[in-house]
Amino acid sequence: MSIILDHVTYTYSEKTAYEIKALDDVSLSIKDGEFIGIIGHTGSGKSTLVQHLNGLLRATSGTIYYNGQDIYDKDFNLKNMRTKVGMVFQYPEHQLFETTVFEDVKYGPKNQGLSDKEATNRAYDALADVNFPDEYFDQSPFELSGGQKRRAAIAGVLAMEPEVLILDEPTAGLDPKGQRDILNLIRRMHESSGRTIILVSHSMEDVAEYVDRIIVMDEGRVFLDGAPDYVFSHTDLLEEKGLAVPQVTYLMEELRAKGIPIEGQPTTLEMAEKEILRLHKAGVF
Amino acid sequence: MFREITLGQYYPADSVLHRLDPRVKLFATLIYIIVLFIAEKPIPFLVITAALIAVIVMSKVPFSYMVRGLRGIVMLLVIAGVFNLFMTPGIVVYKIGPFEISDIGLKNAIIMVVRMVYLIIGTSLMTLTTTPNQLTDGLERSLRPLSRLGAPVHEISMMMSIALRFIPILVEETDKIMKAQMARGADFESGGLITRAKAMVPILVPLFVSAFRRASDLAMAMEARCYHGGEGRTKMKPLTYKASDRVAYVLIMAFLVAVAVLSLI
Ligand SMILES: Nc1ncnc2c1ncn2[C@@H]1O[C@H](COP(=O)(O)OP(=O)(O)O)[C@@H](O)[C@H]1O
Ligand SMILES: [Mg+2]
Repeated sequence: MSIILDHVTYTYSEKTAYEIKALDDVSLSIKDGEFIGIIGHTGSGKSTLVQHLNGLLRATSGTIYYNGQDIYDKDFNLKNMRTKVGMVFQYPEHQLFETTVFEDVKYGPKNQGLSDKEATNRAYDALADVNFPDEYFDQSPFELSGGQKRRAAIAGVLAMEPEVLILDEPTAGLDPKGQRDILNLIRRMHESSGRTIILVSHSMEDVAEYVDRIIVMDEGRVFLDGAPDYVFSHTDLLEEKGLAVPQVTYLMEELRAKGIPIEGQPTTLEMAEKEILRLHKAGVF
Repeated sequence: MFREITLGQYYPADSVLHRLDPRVKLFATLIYIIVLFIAEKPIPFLVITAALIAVIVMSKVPFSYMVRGLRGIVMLLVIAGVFNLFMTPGIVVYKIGPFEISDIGLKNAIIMVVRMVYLIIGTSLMTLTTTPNQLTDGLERSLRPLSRLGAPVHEISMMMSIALRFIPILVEETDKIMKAQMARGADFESGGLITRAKAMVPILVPLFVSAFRRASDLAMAMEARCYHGGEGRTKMKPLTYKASDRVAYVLIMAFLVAVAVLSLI
């Protein structure tokens, strides 16, 4: 299972006065089971990029291969692929429409052609996966709190049991606890099922802590692509583009500037803690 | 695919026409329509054509944008043209099998087609060079005398601006919701009429919810800023005539007189 983008370019409102090149010659290869974070400032093309991965947008030029098959091929079943590459949009709670949460979550599986019984099972599992409280299953989705709506909407995508899960800024507009919960949930999903996860975010801390690979977008291009410590070792480049590295990375760099021999590029609190303890044991402090 | 419709037809450019006061453009459009219906002979049409070409060149809008409006009425043009051509009695000038074309039919068909094409091009010129907001501003000012008769001119134009402002937002929202449901396997294209109508529910419900949410947010925001209707309300960008607007008025009147006189002689 892999997704390959080969020189993908996308232009909004092509051939009009409002033409915007949102993706510019993007080539990427996404392997099975990867946990990828996509960062970049607003308007850098993150959402446009991920909407290509399940064929919701059609590249102006370039090709996309899903498990080796060209998704723009005439015989390729795009509708089927969309259910394999699950996509949680930004503010997914805006897509809720059914009379009860449970019915809403069943919408995806039913579209996949599953029987009512199977859809019910899937919905039950998905809601359990996102820790959605049982007592609200039959509530109208419009009467829930923001965090619960978000969970219900995410469950709606999970219920289709996608092989790849894309989440576009899933924590936007939630309180800190809600954000943690959602991110931990995503991590759990990655660890338990090993499915590919693509997380769009603009929080460096979140991305550094959770993902194994970071893709930095800038003006529709892939600007940096690699493991968190690799990407966050380019502090200057990132700052030039108006981005930042995690707070701890700044701290570690300052310590290094003071002559303390920090090894590697700690990007999370945990890594920083380990490094400081190691130095402490080695008698540097 | 959506933003094209959403911004109305406005084509951003920096031209004399774009800078003209919207009231002038509304007035010019009105005169232009009247003139198109007065004119019947070739000479007045030549004057109109010359004026139209001049304005098109001044507008700095690519010609293809004006022709775009014509695509929608091609069928109408063909049908109306054919009917006029073959169905008008008069001296037969041409015969194709059982069909006869009369002199009057030929003339009527040509006038009709030219009028329609000019009408579309002329009115799109106005919408291409004027933002929807300027248009409603212009309308409000032009119709202000009616408010003395008790017509709710300000309210109507406020409603129009809000509606115009919301069109792109709702269109974008529709696009987003459609994509989100498509990502959940929704299919809006296959199936019979009832299946397709049913498939719209997952789009319409969230769309209404969001429209109401936005409307109540907006109402709240307006109230928080003490909006209380038109009475005594001033504008951030009041419409004021510049020298070029006065020149434009003179030219429009000259154009009207010229065509009227040429049509009479
Ligand atoms: N539906 C659309 N129509 C036209 N332009 C769009 C649309 N969506 C996004 N854009 C433009 O494309 C560029 C990339 O946007 P997007 O992919 O949403 O960026 P991000 O998700 O990184 O904020 C921006 O300049 C944005 O204005
Ligand atoms: Mg985005």
